[in-house]
This record gives sequence, C-alpha cells and structure tokens, in this order.
Amino acid sequence: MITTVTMPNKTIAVSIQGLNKSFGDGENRLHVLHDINLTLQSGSMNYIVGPSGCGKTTLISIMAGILTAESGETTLFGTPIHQLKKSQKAKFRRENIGFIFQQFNLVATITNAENVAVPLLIQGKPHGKAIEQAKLLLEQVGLGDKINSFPRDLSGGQQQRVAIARALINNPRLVVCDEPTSALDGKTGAQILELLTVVARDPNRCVVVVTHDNRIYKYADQLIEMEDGRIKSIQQVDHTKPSQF
Amino acid sequence: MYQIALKMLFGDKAKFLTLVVGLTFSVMLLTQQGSIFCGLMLRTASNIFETGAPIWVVDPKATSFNDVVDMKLSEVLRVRSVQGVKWAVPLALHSAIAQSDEGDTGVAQVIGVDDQTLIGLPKGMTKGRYEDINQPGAVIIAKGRSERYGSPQVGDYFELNDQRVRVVGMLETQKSFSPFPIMYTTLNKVQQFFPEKKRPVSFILVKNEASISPEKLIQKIQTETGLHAYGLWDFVFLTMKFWAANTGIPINLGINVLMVIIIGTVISAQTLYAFMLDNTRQFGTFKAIGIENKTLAGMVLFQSAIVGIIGHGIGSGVISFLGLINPPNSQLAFYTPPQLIGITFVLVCGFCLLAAVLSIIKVLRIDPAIVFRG
Ligand SMILES: Nc1ncnc2c1ncn2[C@@H]1O[C@H](COP(=O)(O)OP(=O)(O)O)[C@@H](O)[C@H]1O
Ligand SMILES: [Mg+2]
Repeated sequence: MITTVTMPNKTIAVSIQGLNKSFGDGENRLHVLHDINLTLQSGSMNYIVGPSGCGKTTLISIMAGILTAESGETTLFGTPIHQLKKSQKAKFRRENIGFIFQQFNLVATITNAENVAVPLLIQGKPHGKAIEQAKLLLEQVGLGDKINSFPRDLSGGQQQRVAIARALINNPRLVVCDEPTSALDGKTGAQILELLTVVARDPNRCVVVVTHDNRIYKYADQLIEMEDGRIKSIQQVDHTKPSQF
Repeated sequence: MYQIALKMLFGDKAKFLTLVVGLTFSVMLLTQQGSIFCGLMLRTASNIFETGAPIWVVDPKATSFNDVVDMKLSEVLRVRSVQGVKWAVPLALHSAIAQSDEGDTGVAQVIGVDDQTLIGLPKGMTKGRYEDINQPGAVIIAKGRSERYGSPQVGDYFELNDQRVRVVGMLETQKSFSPFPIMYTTLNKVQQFFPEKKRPVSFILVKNEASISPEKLIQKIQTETGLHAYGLWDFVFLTMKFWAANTGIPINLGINVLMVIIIGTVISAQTLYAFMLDNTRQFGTFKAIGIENKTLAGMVLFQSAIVGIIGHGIGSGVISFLGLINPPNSQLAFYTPPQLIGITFVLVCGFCLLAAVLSIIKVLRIDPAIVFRG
C-alpha cells in the first residue's frame, strides 16, 4: 500500500508513485518519464508546465488511464488503475474522467449539444435525456444559443467551450486538459482558462491543466514544473499575493 | 450512440456518397447478371407458360419440355380415367423439315394440339382465326421465327415433311430460348405429317377438378398410371435445369457473378475501411472517454449495415426499373424475380459484414492515447 501524508479535509485525487515510462526499443529507446512521484488533491486546480517534449502529455495520458506506464503506481480516488484491465479502465474513465484536448476533438457532423452529450451516450443514457443535460451545460459555458448548430459554425474559442462542457457532463472527479489554449489566441486562451476555473472547480474534483502559457498561471492552486521527464518543482500558488507571476 | 453513428455517416455527404456508390454499382452488376440469367432461363420455358396447363404428364424418362419420350394415344385415356381429372388432352411436339416453294429449308418444331378443344394453343393471334386450324393442312405459325423457310404469310403455302400446308394464322408468342421456328397445328394433322410415329403424344395436359388439389392429383396420376406428372412450375424448373445443365450458361454467367462478388466485396470493404480511417480521431476520442468495445463495434456494424441497405435499395431499384421498361419481347432476356433481390441482399450483407469486421478490427486497435497527440 501507498502511504501518503494527507492534508486535513482534503481527499487525495491522484497519487502517482515511482512512475517510469519509455517509448521504443533497443537503440531507439527513449526514457520519457523518470521516477515521477506526485499527489494531487480533490478541489484543486493543478497546472503542469515545462518545455516542449519534457513529458507532460505522457504524464497526463498515464494519469488519465489512456497510456500504460512501465513501472510505478497510479491511484485515482483510491483505485489503483495500473492494475485494471483495459475494459475496466474504460469503465473507470467514462465514470470518473473528463478530457479536454488541444485540438478540441469534436465530431464535425453532429450538433454541439450532441457533442457535449457524447460521454453520457457512451454511458448508455437515453439520447433525449443526454441532450437535455447537454443543453444546460452549453448554457453554463455561454453557448446557450449554439445548441443546434455544428462545431464548424463556431470559433476556436467557442469550440473549446463545447469541449469543456463535454468534459464536465459526466460530472467527473478528474479533468485532464492538454494545452487547451495553444490552438487559440492569447486573449481567447485566457478566457477559456478563466471559464474552466469557474465551471470546473468543485470540492470533489481535481483539474489538471497542461500548459506553457505563462501569462495565465494565476488560476492555478498548484504549479508543477517539469524538465526532461522529471518533476523539477512543485509550488503552491498563494492567491492572496497579487500577480505572483 | 447509434444516432451519433448515423449522423457521422450522413454528415459528410461526399464521403457518404462514395460509400453508397461503390455498393450501388456492385448491386447493379449483380442484379443485372442475375436478371439476364433469369431472363434466359425463363425463355427456355416460354412454351410451357404459353400452353398454360396446370399439370403436365409425361413419360417417366422425360427430362424437360425439350427432351421427352413420346407416348401412345391410349395413355391419354388412362389419365382421363383417374378420378379428379377434369380434362386431359394430348399435346405433340416434333421436329419437321419446312420448305418454301422457293426452296428455302429449315427445321421447325411442330406442336399439335387436341383437335376438339384446341387446349395448348397460345393466345395472341395477330392474323387469321383460331377455328381455321381445323381445316385440312392448316398451320398457325409463331411470328418472327419463320424466316428460314421463306416467312410465309396467312394464306401462303409451304411444305412440311413433304406435305403441303397452308398458313391460317400468325401468333405473337413469347421469345423462346430454342432457336427453331415453331408452328401449331392439330394432333390429327401431326399424325399425317409423321405417319411413321406410333407414339404421337409428347405431353398430356391435365386440369384438376375443384374438389382435388393439383398436388394430390399429381400423386394420384403417378401411382395409377405409372407416368410422371408435374405442376406447371415444377415442369418449368425441370426444363430450366435441363437447359442450364446442357448449355453452360450458369457456369459462364456464374464466373461473371463471382467476379462481381469479389469486386463488390473489395470496393465496399475498402470504402468503408477508408471511412473508418477518416474517423480515427473521433473514434479515438470516444475510446479515451471510455466507450465500450461492443458499443464501438456496434456503431461500425450499424454504419455498414445502413450503407448496405441504401446501396442495395438503389442498386436493385435501378435494375428492376430497367427491367420494367425493357419491352417484354425484346432481344434482351431480362427478368428480375423477387428471389434475386433477396439473393443480392444476402450477398450485400456478406460484403458489409466483411467490411465491418475489417473496420472493427481497425477501430478497436485505435490507441486512445492519440487524442493528446497533434
Ligand atoms: N508514442 C510515442 N512514441 C515515441 N515517442 C514518443 C511517443 N509519445 C511521446 N514521445 C516522445 O516522448 C517525449 C515526451 O513527449 P510528450 O509527453 O508529448 O511531451 P510534452 O507534452 O511535454 O511536449 C518526446 O520526446 C516525444 O517525442
Ligand atoms: Mg504535449
């Protein structure tokens, strides 16, 4: 068993111990993550930053259960997901994890509401009910008037809002976002992160955002800095001190 | 998710069209080849249809309309004596040499019908009168098949097995598979044209009483007379089988059909597979979100089934329509029975299943980790 020091009144959302990951074999073997240890709390907003290629995407992919590590333990809300079979992992993901992607990954040929409803439909919820819920979420992200239009009718920022709504519709306990703003201009990106902070924050939810946008760290509670597949530093952000970054 | 699958399919009109067109063409080719086969086969039996009797009694050694062992006239009486027979009449089919006054000669098939009832004489007289067939030396000829012996018209004379005959009528009959000209006369005259034949009867045409079903009567005739009896369609199929077995048509058309099946399978599998590849990112996203494999497989299967049904509908619809507008007696033998549509549907299901299985294997192998990669 893993023993971790817990802060009072806080539950541990993500616990990663001794994580290693490499790609390729023999000469081409690339050791991407070196002995990562990381603990994230529910209710927290965590930013992972670091130069391109340092292993951020690999880390959150393993954290979200879509990539398998070589060694180490990944425990989400008490469930050791590295021990789960593929199908169990898929079930765990659809019940507990929300995804936000750099490229939005919306389905072009279905309406925005249907896109948002996808996680519920995947869970087997009836179409009508799922769409009703999707409409509410679209309203929350400020797209109440775009329910029946298609992703192609939206700007990049609006598409990412649809994606945020989709990531939250199954009320996930962990939300992972990989560079959600890098396909957007600076101002829109900042708005997206602000929106994410407003709608995704929940005492029972842990949000992990990979970003290299250093203007917008102000929304983070915890800043995890990576370098060459290692965690270089972890800083708590004190929101009482203005403009720390 | 099935609604989503459907919208993914219909959403991109161009891609959807590519999917459907490939399948539609395969179905069109299949149906067309099949229709020609059916059309040709139907023509082998056109004389049976034209004669129209519900029950056909023949010598047990008969293998088809075109290959019978002739019977004595007394057999007709034996059949008539079976209880449940409403009427039983002889029909003769023999080959003769027809020769015009100018010397044009050809083999003709002579069908002799019962003198009293004229049962077996096809409808569709375009010139002349049926009654005149009872005059001495009278024949009615099937139009369009008499060029070989000088295309005689009503009132013209020519020679049949060296005996003088006169044309008293012209019939518009269905196209037949057999290339020989056909003429109709009465059984008495057939006996004159073929004086040496001791067994002039080729078929005994029978109608059942209302009190007995044709099937029951067929059984009774067989047990009581020792002859063979067939229902109209059974005799049609027997004749089709005879021609199919002796002409190589099924093999030759079969090779075409086999090629179309292979091409159809490849086209549908390839276009469907390409469609799934195009949607890799979407499917990857669904996988990351945690879709069950069986749901994903179901979506792909559903998509391919929809494409199959639409492709089959359009393809067989177009060909059936072409069949309908093809004039009934044209050179083109073309008949699209519902069974053929059923067979092509089963084949299309096969194509689509194969395509779906290949695509499912591919889709299930998509690594959800791609969703975070550019
Ligand atoms: N599937 C893969 N196969 C081989 N190498 C990979 C694969 N995914 C990532 N890498 C390599 O791992 C390193 C870290 O990648 P990544 O986690 O995407 O970094 P970041 O997200 O911080 O830019 C990079 O050098 C990248 O080329
Ligand atoms: Mg990355």
